Amino acid sequence: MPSLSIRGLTKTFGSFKAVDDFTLEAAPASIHAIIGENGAGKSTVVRCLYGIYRPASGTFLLDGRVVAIRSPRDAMRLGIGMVHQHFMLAPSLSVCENVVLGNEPRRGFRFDRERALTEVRDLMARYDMDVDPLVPVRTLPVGLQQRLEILKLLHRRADVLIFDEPTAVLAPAEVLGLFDIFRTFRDEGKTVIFIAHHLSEVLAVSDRITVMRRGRHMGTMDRPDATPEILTRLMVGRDVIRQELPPSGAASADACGRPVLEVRNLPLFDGGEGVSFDIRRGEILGIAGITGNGQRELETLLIGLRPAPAGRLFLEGEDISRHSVRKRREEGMAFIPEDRIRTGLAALASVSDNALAGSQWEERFRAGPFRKNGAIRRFTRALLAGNGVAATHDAVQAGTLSGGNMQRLVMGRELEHDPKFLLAAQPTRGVDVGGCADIHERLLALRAQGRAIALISADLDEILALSDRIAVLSKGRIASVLSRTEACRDRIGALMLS
Amino acid sequence: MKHSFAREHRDLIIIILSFGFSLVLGGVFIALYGADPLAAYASMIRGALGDGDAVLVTLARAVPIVLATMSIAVAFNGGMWNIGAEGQLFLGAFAAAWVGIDLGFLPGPLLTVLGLALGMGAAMFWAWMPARLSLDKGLNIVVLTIMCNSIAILFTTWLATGPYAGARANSGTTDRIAEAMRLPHFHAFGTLNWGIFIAAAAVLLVALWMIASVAGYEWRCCRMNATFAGYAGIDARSRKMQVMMASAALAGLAGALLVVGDHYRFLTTLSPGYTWTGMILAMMTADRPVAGIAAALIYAVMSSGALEMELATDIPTELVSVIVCCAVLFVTAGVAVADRLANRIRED
Repeated sequence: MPSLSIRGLTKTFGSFKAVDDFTLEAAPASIHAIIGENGAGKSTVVRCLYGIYRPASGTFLLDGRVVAIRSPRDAMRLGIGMVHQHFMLAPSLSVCENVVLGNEPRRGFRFDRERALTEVRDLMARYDMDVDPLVPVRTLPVGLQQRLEILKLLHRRADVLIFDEPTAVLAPAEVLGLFDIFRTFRDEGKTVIFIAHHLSEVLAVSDRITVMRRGRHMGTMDRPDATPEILTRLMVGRDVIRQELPPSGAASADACGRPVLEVRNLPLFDGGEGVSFDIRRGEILGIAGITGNGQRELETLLIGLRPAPAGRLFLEGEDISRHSVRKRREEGMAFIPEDRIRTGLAALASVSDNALAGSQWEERFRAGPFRKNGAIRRFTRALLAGNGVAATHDAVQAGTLSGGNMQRLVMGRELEHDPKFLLAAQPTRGVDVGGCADIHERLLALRAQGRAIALISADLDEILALSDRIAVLSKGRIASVLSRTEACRDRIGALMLS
Repeated sequence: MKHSFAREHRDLIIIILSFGFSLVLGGVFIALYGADPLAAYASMIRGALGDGDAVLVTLARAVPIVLATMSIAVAFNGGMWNIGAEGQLFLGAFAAAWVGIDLGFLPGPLLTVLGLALGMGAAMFWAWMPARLSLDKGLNIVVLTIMCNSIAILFTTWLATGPYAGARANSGTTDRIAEAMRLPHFHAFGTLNWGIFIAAAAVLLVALWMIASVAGYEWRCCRMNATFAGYAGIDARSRKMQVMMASAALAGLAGALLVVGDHYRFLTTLSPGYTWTGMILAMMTADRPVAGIAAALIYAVMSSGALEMELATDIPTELVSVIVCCAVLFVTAGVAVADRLANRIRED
């Protein structure tokens, strides 16, 4: 009897079907992987299962019985636990307090600290974890914080454990450790459902594999039947062919001229070694690396949100290291930040206010100290229409747009200035497949016009498909810069971990 | 079409509905008291606007309230939690009184201008300190400004009861300021004076800046999302300092006008908490300038007419505060619920 079944699950957001008639049977004592491209609906499935989203239709069966899951509380009561992509920990509380939070042992009305400590110590001993249960969680590295999330589920006696992209935040050695934990759970008879990003992980650890594409169930197979080729074909519907980049004349003609952007000895982490690289006209420099190796710091320094502690930045030969964000924008730099919701947009402000950002000082929008409201309105409407941003009104809050629409708004706004240099950080994260292709096309079009582009991405395929050269970040320094012909997955992978 | 109108003016609709609903609720309280709500409200209006003198008294009452509301609205709208406007008001008032007492030998018009300028300057200095500590050192602006309130109020109280205690006056009041400095009252019955035009000019200027200027846009961005503001090339630090200075200038002006125009001396009981009322009104109108001015005027009418209502129907004047506070609750709850709904129906 399967321990968990999902039957006919459908979840819609407005007119968009995120999950369409999805079915899954997970056996007890097994590791079940769900794979698919970005935006295939994997996270939506597990969020429905954990009661975060209410599905439009579909049933969940636990040990053959239909169960109603209306909230995470229901899910927990049924023994379903989930480790989120973003951890749900209280940084200032101790390890022990975090593990028992929400399920505290009590003595009368009081929190039984002694029993909590023994329970947590027992759990740690059983799963071979060695952490002081009394230190505050904020002092722990990310890998250990994830272990705490797992301990939390075990403390609540969860039998079905869901992991939403658990390896995204981990170093390779930690990934192996996590997989060992998965195997321990399987041996104890628990069901592990995990969402994976990389084929290698799936093939390394899972017993059964389900592939999703555009919200639909594409197929389920046992591990022995699966090969990378079969899975890839199911995931993308075609074999991935690496296309040759069109020649962008500018790059070669300009090779001896000065690069558009020169970065010299710029330390990404305080007190760390500096990084240096150039980007020429008509060139896309891909910046690859595992998340947390300095990408975010590089982004802040290039935008100018934080003053460079040392080192130099040159734009077309001019030293801009000390220039403010506004000055950099006026000089022809544009930025698509990684965090659209917190940096790229003001979620509570109107679409119109968001469209104006970064050009509010320009003559066309300003008469003396006052705004030209008519010009701003026309500009916003043109921007929305020109970039296919589906907003009902230019006064609606930007936070109510979908992820793809937000990204189109940010991208449209940044490209409006016809920049000499564009920073694109994770430009396709959370964007659906069609949207990705569109964004890639626009980046290539900019390249063809002779613009310089820095592309920071966690998606190696994206980097490989678009970049002229690839810089690999590791621990805040550039491990190597590879040319397009030298670059391949294995080599970049090895450099990322160096 | 109608739908998008509702979306575009969502906050305004929430504010008006909330206020209407609070008036109805106030009517229920009146009815529970055994009086006729409509008659009570009618007596309130009659008391505030019944004849020319009443209107002038109501206007005089409105001046510090409108200034205080705008002072809070401009600060909050720019993301600076200036809880210290009350202390800034007291310091501004005392600075103006000091000019009128110790520099009384100067020519009249100069005295008035100097008094108002020094009043605003003192208030701005008092706001600059916590703003600087907050913007450059990361200290909590709310705690700092609250503390500065107590220091300023106690300091001016000491001055008014100690070194500057009036010779021929009640305890806690200074001597009267030089005759030449005073703004003459319009009528014998109340204290309305030329100050209302100065106040109106200041309030309209700040409101215009908030609504229509590029700086006003950048102020708003700083409140909505400071990281985003920085990324959009806005110098958030200087913008936030600007709103703090504008806020303090209005609070200081309110205090200085009370001295130069209304009382002609500094009193320790100068403000019954004008800026606290202003804070409530600013929150009730979601920091919107025009709505804030309207709310402050309505509040002035209600509080001015409340005494007449109490005489006519035995309803205590505190009912006005109850109604306004209910409106604040409805507005904050309404905006929060609307934001959540908007996020729930988002299209992804």
